Amino acid sequence: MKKAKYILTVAVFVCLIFGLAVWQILLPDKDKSYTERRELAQAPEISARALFSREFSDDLESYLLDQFPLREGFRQVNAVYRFYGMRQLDSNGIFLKDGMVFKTETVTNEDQISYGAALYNAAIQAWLADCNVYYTVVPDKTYFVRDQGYPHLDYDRLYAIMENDVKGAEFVDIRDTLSLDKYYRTDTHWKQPELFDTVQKLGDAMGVGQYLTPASEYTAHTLSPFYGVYLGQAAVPMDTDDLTYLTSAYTDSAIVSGPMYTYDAVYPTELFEGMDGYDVFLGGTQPIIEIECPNARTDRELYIFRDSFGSSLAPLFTGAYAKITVIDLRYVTTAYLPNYVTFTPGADVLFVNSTLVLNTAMIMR
Amino acid sequence: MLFSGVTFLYAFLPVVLLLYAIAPGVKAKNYVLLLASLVFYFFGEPVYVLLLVFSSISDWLHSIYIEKHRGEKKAKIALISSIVINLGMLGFFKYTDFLIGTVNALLGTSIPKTGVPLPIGISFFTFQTMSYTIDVYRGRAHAQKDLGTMATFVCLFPQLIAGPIVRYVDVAAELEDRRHTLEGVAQGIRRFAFGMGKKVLIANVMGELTQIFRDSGDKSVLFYWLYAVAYALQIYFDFSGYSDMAIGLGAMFGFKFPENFNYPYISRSITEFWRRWHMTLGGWFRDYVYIPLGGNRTTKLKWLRNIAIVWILTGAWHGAEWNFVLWGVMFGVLLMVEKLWLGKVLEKLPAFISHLYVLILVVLSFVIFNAAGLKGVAADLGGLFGAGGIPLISAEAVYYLRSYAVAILVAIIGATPLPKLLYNKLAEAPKVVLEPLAAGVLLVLSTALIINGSFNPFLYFRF
Repeated sequence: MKKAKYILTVAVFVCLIFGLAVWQILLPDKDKSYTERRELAQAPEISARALFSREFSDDLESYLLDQFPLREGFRQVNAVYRFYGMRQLDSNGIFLKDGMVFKTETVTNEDQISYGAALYNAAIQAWLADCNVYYTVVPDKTYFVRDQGYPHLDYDRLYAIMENDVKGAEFVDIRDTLSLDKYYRTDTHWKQPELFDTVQKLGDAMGVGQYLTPASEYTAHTLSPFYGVYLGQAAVPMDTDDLTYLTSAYTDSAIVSGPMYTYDAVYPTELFEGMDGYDVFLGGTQPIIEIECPNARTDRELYIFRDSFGSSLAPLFTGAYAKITVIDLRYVTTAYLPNYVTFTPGADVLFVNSTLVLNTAMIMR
Repeated sequence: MLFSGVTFLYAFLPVVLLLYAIAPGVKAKNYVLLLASLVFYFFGEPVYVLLLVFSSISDWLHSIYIEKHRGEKKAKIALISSIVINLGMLGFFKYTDFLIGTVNALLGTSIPKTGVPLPIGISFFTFQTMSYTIDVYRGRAHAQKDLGTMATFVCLFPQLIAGPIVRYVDVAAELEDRRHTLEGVAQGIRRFAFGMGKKVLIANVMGELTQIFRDSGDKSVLFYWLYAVAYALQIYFDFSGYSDMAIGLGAMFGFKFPENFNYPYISRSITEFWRRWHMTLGGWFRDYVYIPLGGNRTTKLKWLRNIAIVWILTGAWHGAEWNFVLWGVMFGVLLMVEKLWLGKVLEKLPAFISHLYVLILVVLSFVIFNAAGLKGVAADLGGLFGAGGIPLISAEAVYYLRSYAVAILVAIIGATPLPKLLYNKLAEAPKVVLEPLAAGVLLVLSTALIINGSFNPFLYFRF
């Protein structure tokens, strides 16, 4: 009986170690992981420098990890072990609640938040003194479960720093227009069709509330499956989201351009199949985009300093502004901004960044 | 290269096992192991592999010379030369910057540090080679005439970088001739899989918690204690898991390596704890430092001096920082106190109290061990007792206590012999399936956590 045990033990080990090793050799390498939204490591090049600097061994480990057979399955096993075996409340900083995926952010970086406020102030003083400047802060999903025992940012402190430090701009608090169901289950972002209250509040504050396109004039388009950014990180077996974007006569007729914007529409839907489906909204990572709206109900101009939350927000202003300039300070430094944008006196300006970006505001320059 | 890395598990190990299996005879198998060991070390320390080769040649030459001149003064000179070279390597790479830093701090000088990185596993392989030449000098071992065999002993990859500290006499016979049995290989696989599970499924998870604590800005007394318990569990499962993997790999290749851990957390005294924790290091210091100094067969004062020397050295062996020395001194003092009077008191106390005594002191000791220097010791020990006005409880501490409660419970139970006792009560029939299944599940689960790119350091690599 013992012999059978020994034979079985050796057989299991040989099958696993040799089987997976051979499988790894035979398996064609993949370029990307769509669930994790990243490029996968490729076979490292062998050189004397790489070998003797340990770069080769580090790169080889990364390569083998990234190209491992059944990698997604193994990642799911890891998630199941942690969430259901060890009953961990989070794994890799990702936690699940009522079918939604969240990311724990525990450290409130006051210096970064103050930096963000200072950056706003610098922009206001340099170019926006003659404009009507507003700012808002988009709460991340964890904000809505902050009282339920999960680690979270010190939101009170974050909002207080912004309200205290930002000068020359009016704060528009949009928290009362948002709720958890207005965000994607598997992604960090909000859903565009759920933003009418938010847009209305912002529009009212900026004096264009009456010119906003009513919900009834929009047509919803759904793209599926949408792999939210947290889905890949969580690696738990769960349903994907559907991504919905809204078109109207104003978005359809808008003329969109920018130094790096190579698409001809507000919603470049071809990007849905890329690494980040949310790039459908204004092409994702774009430094500067100009949206001209020939049929707008006013001739006013709006400048939006934004992160990715602003990408889905901006198209909803197309009926109310003749021109919207969307600026992402993560991808264009303030020093170079005057080379690309001339700010029109009297225009409206809206700073819209999320709590997550403000907590790491030094990524803005 | 880490045992718990895919390069080792799914590239290096299968190739080595295959080459080893087809190599005819022990000599050829030794050369496969030697080559594999050099590749293994090269992957982690491309340049320092030369140090390993130098160490092998140096101690090979010294031992032959010692044996040739046994009983003569030349043998003693050669022994001293070997020890000086080994300790010189260890001293240069491990302690130079520590000494410079200490001198700078004491004298206000600004002598620049060398910045020379510590070769992985140098504390282990220098101790192994020193024990070899000392044993040859003492006549307990014959000098190995074959350089290849000697180098195989020095470089043997399963225990090269984190122990157990295998002495030449432990494996001398097996280096010349060893049997490979189905039972040995199967038991090696089982031991390796369980070691992998201890390392990846428990130690790494505890390691995440200790890292979360370090990164947290919401410290509290509860969080400090959670960290202290998690770290004590992490270091046990990390190091004993590595030892299990090393012993398992050794068994696969026909070697019987010495045990290194024996459920240290069930000890009822610190003396017992050190008979169960890092047993090969304790045995090394006993045989090559403590007993040569006179051990306990001398005056009480010299006996206490001997204990003090051994434990200062044990502390310093673990790391070139004052907190490691303090850690060693702490155990030295505790052992002295136990040997002088507390030991007998502990024997009479209820088991619960003596267990608690050991666990609290050991947990505190590892807080000292893992602190960033002496300032870190003060901060971390202070935190455990509320120094600095930190709150008793914080929301984060409660959250992470809830999040890691099951993992901590599993680790605590796993640190006792209970699972083994329960398993041994099973009849042989279900074990036929259970044992291979458990080995397979542990490997799959470990692979899953490794693939996920989770926290995966080996704590003892730095020693």
